[in-house]
Amino acid sequence: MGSQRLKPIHALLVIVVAIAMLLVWGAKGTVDAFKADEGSQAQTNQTSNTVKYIRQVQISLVDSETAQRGFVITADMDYFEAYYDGVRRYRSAIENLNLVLEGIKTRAQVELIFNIERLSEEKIAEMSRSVDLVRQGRRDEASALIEQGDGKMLMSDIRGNLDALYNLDRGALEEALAESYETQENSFRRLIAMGIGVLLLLSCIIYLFVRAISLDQTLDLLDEVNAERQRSDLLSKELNHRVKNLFAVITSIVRLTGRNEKKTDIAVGKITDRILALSRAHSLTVSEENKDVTDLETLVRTLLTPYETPSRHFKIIGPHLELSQNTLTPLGLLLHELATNALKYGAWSTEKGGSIDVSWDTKADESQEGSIVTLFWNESSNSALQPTDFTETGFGFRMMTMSMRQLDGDIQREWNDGLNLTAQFRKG
Amino acid sequence: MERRIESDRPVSEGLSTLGLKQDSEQEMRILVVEDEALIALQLEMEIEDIGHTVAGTCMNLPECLLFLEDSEIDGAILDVDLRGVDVFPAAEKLRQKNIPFVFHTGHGDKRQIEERFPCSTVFKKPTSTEIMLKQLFAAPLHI
Repeated sequence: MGSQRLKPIHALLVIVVAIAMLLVWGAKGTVDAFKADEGSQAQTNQTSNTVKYIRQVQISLVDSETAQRGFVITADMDYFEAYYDGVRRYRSAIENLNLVLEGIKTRAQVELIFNIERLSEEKIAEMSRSVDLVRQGRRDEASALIEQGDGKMLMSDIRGNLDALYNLDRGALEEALAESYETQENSFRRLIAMGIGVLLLLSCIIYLFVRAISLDQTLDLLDEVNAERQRSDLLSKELNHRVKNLFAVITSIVRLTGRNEKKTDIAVGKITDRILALSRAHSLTVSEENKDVTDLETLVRTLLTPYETPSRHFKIIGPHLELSQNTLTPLGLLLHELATNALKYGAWSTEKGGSIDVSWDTKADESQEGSIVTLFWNESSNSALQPTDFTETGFGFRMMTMSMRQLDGDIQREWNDGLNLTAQFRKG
Repeated sequence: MERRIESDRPVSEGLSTLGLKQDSEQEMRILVVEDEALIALQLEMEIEDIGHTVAGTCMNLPECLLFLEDSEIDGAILDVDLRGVDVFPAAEKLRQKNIPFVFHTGHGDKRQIEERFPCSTVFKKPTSTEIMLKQLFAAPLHI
């Protein structure tokens, strides 16, 4: 479903393709405009040449007519020269006119030039007849010929045809200029469109740039999230490990207590107390990777306080000592066992009560990293009696010894006016 | 041939038959390798209750390897993870000496361990001590 949605990148692709097409279209327009301009330029050149030769044709004919008339009136040979010069210039001009329009003549132009040439030749023939008559000394006949007015009519026809030819060419020029102007207008519009296209393209680039920056930020965030998840995975693995271990320990507590205490209600009470002690010890912390999580004074206080009354008190003396998570179960069980033993047999067992001093000191372990802790548990009571089963094989003693062995340690104990126990263990 | 006992069976099943060893069984010397004091103590006491002897209890790998140097035992129950150190070097040594052993683990990949030590069985914690001992002496000696 998500893949079928139009993504911004698809829209962007469409826009870029559209802009590319727009630019091609604009470029084509510009080329067209150049071509149109070249065309109108050529037309202008051609028209100005055409006009020039049309005028030369007209002027040369008018000149030769004027000279012919002068010659008829005065018979001066200068006029005769001028007449021939005019006719020569006419022939040159008409030839040039034909050259300029060579190959590009329209049907109308062909017709007009044909007419002009025909009429001009007739005019020249008419003029040369009168010139010949003057040279033969027959000036009167020549004058009469002119007065007939044929020459004048011919001249007027020629002028009409020349004007028509001039107008035709003029029209072609105007058309070419109009077309060029229109193409230029069109080209200008295309240029504006191209400009807008380029702006759009720039916007697309800026958009992509901004997206790249935000992508970078997202990737950074993803890295952070991944690191955080790894940390939380590790923590949950560690917790999982601890929970499994605690369940195994609790199972052992139940089975060992049940094995050594056959009376169900007493067994249940002992099991509950031991699990509670374990729970108190572990509730002091949620650790990460077995780092230092609590300290010995807090642990002792937490485990002994539930038994404290005005007559049962305890004192804690010792330097601050950080504990790691793996010491909590064995130390917790040791201290709990000691406290319940004190209640049952020791300093806290009689009405008069007594006091327990808990103290410790540490020294560096020379063979390994870490330190060796020596913990002293000294009970003092005037009324407590040494229990009869104060042996090395009793369950409680085995449990305490084993707990200290777990920490590479050991315990020694003796009885004065209460229990005096020394426990040594390694603090990781 | 497959004589493994399913390790996920309820503990009570083992408890119901918990008792002295059969008359036909000899008294065996068992090594307990376990880094959690209470579990070690429980194994010790239940092994004794059944009528066998605990030859020793080791709570870390160096201690265990040292013990294996000069002690005569008939079988071993091995915790896999000893304070973050694998028990496998000790298992290798037991295999070399043809002494049967079972694994008793709270975590770890059971299949991976069984592939590495096909002569042995992996039990998940908690498993009845009696079931583990039965498996220990039912398993054929691995050559």
